Amino acid sequence: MKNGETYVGTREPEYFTRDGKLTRRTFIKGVGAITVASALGFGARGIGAGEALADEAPAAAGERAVHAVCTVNCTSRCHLRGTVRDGKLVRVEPGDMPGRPGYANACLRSMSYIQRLQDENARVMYPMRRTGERGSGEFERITWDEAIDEIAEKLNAVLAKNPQAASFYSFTGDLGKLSWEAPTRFAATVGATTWDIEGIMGDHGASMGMTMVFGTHRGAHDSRDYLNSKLLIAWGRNVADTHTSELRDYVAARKNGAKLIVIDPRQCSTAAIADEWIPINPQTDPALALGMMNWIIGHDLHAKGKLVEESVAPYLIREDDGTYLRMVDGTVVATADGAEAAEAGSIGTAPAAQGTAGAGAGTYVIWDELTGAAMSAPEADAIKGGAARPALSGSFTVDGVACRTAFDHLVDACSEYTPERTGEICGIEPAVVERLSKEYIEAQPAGIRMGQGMQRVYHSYAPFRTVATLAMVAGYIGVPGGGASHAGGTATNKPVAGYTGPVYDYSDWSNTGKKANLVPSSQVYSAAVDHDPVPIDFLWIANSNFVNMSPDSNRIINEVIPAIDFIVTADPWWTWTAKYSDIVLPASTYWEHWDLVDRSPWAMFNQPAIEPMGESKSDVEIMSLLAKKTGVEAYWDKTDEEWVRQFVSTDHPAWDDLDWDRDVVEQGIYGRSDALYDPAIVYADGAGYKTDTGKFEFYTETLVEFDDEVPTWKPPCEDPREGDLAQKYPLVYIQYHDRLNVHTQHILNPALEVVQDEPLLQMNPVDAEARGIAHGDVVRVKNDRGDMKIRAFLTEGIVPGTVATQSGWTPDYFIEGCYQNLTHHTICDAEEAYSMTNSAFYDVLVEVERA
Amino acid sequence: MNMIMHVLPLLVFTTFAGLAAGAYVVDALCGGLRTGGSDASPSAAPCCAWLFPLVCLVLLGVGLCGTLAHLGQPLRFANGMANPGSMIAQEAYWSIAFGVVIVIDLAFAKVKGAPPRPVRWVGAVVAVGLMIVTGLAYYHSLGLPAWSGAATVPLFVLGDLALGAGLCALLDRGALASGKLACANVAAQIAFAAVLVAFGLHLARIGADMTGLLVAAGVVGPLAASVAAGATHAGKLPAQAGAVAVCAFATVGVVLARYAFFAAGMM
Amino acid sequence: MAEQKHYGMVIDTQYCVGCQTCTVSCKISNEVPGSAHWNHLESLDGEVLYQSTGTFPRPTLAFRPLLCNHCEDPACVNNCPSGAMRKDPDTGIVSVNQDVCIACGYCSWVCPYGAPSMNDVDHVMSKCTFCAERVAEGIDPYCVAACPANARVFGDLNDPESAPSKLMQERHAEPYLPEAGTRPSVYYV
Repeated sequence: MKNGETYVGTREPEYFTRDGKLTRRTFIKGVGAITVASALGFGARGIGAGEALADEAPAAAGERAVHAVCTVNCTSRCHLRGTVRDGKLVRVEPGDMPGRPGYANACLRSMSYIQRLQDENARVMYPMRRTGERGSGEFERITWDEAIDEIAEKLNAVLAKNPQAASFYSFTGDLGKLSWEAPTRFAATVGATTWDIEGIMGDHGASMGMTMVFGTHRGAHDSRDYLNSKLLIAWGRNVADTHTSELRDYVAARKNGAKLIVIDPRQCSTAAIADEWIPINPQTDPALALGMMNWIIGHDLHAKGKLVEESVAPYLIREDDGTYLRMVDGTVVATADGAEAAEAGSIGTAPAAQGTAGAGAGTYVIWDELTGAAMSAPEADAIKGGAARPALSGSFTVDGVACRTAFDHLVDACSEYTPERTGEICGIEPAVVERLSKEYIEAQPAGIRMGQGMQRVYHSYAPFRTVATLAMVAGYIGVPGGGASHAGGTATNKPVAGYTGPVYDYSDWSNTGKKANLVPSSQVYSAAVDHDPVPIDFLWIANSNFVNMSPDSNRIINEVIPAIDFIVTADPWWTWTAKYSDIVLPASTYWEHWDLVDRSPWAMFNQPAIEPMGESKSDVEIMSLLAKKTGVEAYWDKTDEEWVRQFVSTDHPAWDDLDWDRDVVEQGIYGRSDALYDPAIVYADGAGYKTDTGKFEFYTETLVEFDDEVPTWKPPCEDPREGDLAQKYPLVYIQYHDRLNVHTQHILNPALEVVQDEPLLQMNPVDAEARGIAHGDVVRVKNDRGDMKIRAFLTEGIVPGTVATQSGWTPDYFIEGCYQNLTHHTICDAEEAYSMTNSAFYDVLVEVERA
Repeated sequence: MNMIMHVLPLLVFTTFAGLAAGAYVVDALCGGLRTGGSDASPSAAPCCAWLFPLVCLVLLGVGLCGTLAHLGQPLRFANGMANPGSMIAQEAYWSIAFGVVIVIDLAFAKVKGAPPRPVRWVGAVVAVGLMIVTGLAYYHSLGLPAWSGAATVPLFVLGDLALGAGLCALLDRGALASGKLACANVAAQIAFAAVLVAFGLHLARIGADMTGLLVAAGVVGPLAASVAAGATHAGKLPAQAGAVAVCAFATVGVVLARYAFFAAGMM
Repeated sequence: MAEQKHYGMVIDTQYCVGCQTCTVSCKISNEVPGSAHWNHLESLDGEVLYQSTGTFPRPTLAFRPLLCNHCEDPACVNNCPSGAMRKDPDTGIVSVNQDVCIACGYCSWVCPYGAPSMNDVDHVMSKCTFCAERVAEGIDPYCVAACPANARVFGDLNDPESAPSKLMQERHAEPYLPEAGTRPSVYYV
């Protein structure tokens, strides 16, 4: 791995370096060679040490520097530096990240956000009670006392009958610990229902795919590791718009000689700086990965050693029922208990939720070529040491049970994906499939960054699972410059010898008396309408524009919402959802309240930089008010600031240097004393797989009944290739997250209008011409569920047969309708069996016509 | 509508000041109208010798008010003369100089009943200067390709001459019959037509399109004004109606062309 | 007399993703009022921003970020009637004195890059200052600090060792529209 100095030199302008500033604490502690080296380099460039050590530019007269961490749900968590004048936030800049020079970042959304959050016409200013029909937007102002009394009366009535009939639905609008968790924590204190959020929001396919093969929801190489890559593939991931804090590392990698390839149905922003854009039909990414595997294996270029040592490739699979062959004390046993869904208990909302490694690891079987006999699957080290030589391929009979290796199953699954067939499915020239396969395997190493863009489809676990398996077949898992990464970069902390306690004190926060009833969010519609699996008589929505960001908004409005007796929304904004609520409560934003983001190796803090707008309150304040009326005030006895202080008050060495006033109040970010700032990778040396087998597990026996035990490609739910629906609605409709929005909360910050001021339908001129549509024409996009009227934006930068809009636009900005009218919520049995259905937002057919 | 409000001050200045400037040049070239001079047309009435400079002065004044409306800080207009290298400042200098000459002309006309011919000649020279710096001001707009073409200066100079010829016809309604002014009108309109074509070609080259407006300008200006001038000269139109028609057609033609010019630059 | 600076910038269009963080960062942090913008973005090789050029499946998507070029022979200064537009001899920064400006808008017409932008709230011309106050303290302009792709490099072009000077040499950076003759201080790769 290259050293940090090279890295810093590669990507930073040497003149007027701003980002490289280090805080005094970090510099003096000298937490790592990297930091010292870059600090010295910085000083040597001629900027005075005193200035370099100070935090950022001093505030001008009459101005006050303030800090926050952006808590909207992109994968960055940027430290923001703001300026307050006359009680108003007037500017936002990138805030320094101690220990990681060049990582200061603030995107255009976060900078312009201050305009919207200080606009009283955009904000919910006071508690409001609905006076008109739901959705009419007619409300009257009431006092907090009235609001809480009314809500408590409704809630207590429901709690008295069936606590689980009260639901608290908190999503990702504010990922600060307090804001995000307060509503669900409240649910726990009263024994009500909460929702496991990933399914309906369409992020869960990635988690399922990752969990199948790695045993954890997330896992990524630090993006700085791509300096070690010869080839970097952004696969369905538009990092330039959706993870802006890491973009500099991609740029540095490319300057360092790595080839950057973007695989995406759209020529997205990241494709603008790529060496190559490979346009792929939406919903077909697993087919491409299978085609690449087929080519690699067909050319005998697969990483046999790594597959044998670190994956389930040599594991024997029973021919009779497709389960793993298991032996106990040298005797084959019937399928063991371990075959139960590995992740049943770990579908939690927190990214850290993960399985336990190797629960049944000792029972799996390989065929040892040294002894010509079956044996218990050995550890990787034993194989490396020559104690065993597991057969990668072959059919064997063990104790009378016919078996084949898992690898042979994978080979079979890949075999039909010739370059020609792959190309036909994916809309890619067969020669490009071959060249991509060749470049990928020859790069040594090649990194892949996977994006959620490819998994908002039916059978949504397939894309991440298959692409990750490709990386394993190529031998790139756990290799510097390689990997098949999902989500943010990995930062780490030093293990502290002899200290076993937690870093953060969440004991009081976790103590809720009762427990919440956690239900998969894929079932929220059926819960409301059919009372299955729980009724919803009372619904509290927080941190969520539920109607705007969930599939099939017409169904929500016409079926789901009318079935719910009482809806409260706590939100900073007058969302589409708020308009369908009975009481709307004004919530404060991350610039207005205390909060914590424990993003290792930093602790990042929010605190009131400005007075909360109107009568807005934090989620903790709101829940604490309600707690007083619902008999659980004992669990809600702290102010926001008291909670945050308690969280960071352990005697863990991480806090050795914490100075509250300096680090929290003045700087808003604390680099932990146990921090490691070096770029880290995952699964180095084959360690860390949290699957049942303890290995990279591309064979998932629980999916045998769905004919999906190894990575496969299945046609989408709404298939443009054939059938009546394709006749009627021949175009695939996808959405994408772009520079303007994360979800709906940045629509439309005034300063963003110059970038784009209305939603647009991207369309290839080939499709437009066939329909007599010109650039800028108003068109109607429709299917059986709904429609929208929108302007067409013709571009060669989208695959023919597919149209796309930016996600997050609210109905106000459409000429008519809204994009979410078009999407659907279709339960996928395989996903529901594994954990829960992931909304297939990008698995939608439409027709487009001139309006 | 927005475009019209944006363009209006510029249109007012260039049209009104252009009428006055063009009239001085045409008057100088055609040998004096309503001057009461010895070689004036017989119909010239000495009592109205002040009319020509007065009308021109009013037009120039209205035009200059138009420029104030264009300024975001009209009260600071005096600052606008600080940099002689700027064509905007030059416009101010030449406008003021032109105004001074007109005032002198007016004073002579009022006091003596007629100005000395040299005053008109000086006025014509200054007017040409104003026309050229006006054209140059737009020509120097590197950021607006529609304006920075070779046709811009001729467009303003010849447009002003066409305006001036029309105004002269209006102010001396008998003059069209004499031939000289009729010829001047037709000549100015033909030249203006040529520059309209040149400007249209320039726009086409840079990918802009104002063909509709330019054709309209050509029909109303060069064609209709020339026909009206010719008809009046030939006696087929009453002198008074003919003079009004020539001036009106010339003005509308030039205004249409200039609107096209401004709009092409600003859109 | 202090050492004369010639501040300039090199923008590497190869790494511009078109996000407009520069545009918005400048707008917000410099508190540029109304509809004025000191940065803007256009397609590098096409007419319509964000529209790919060329033909599927091998189109191009590329951008040209624009800001004041702080030219050595600035058309805005030369043509400003009031003298409000001026070039600082010590830094090369071109700025407008808003107390003198008559808001005729002429600078925005004569600038080949359309850089000056009318402040339609206070009715006075406004433009990019290269964040002169920050630069005086040795801090990058807002747009440079905010660029998530590090596509902008700022510094003293008189110093052959400065980052932009070196980048210009290494990558043969060229100004945009050199034929306008204003000798820009912003170069593009």
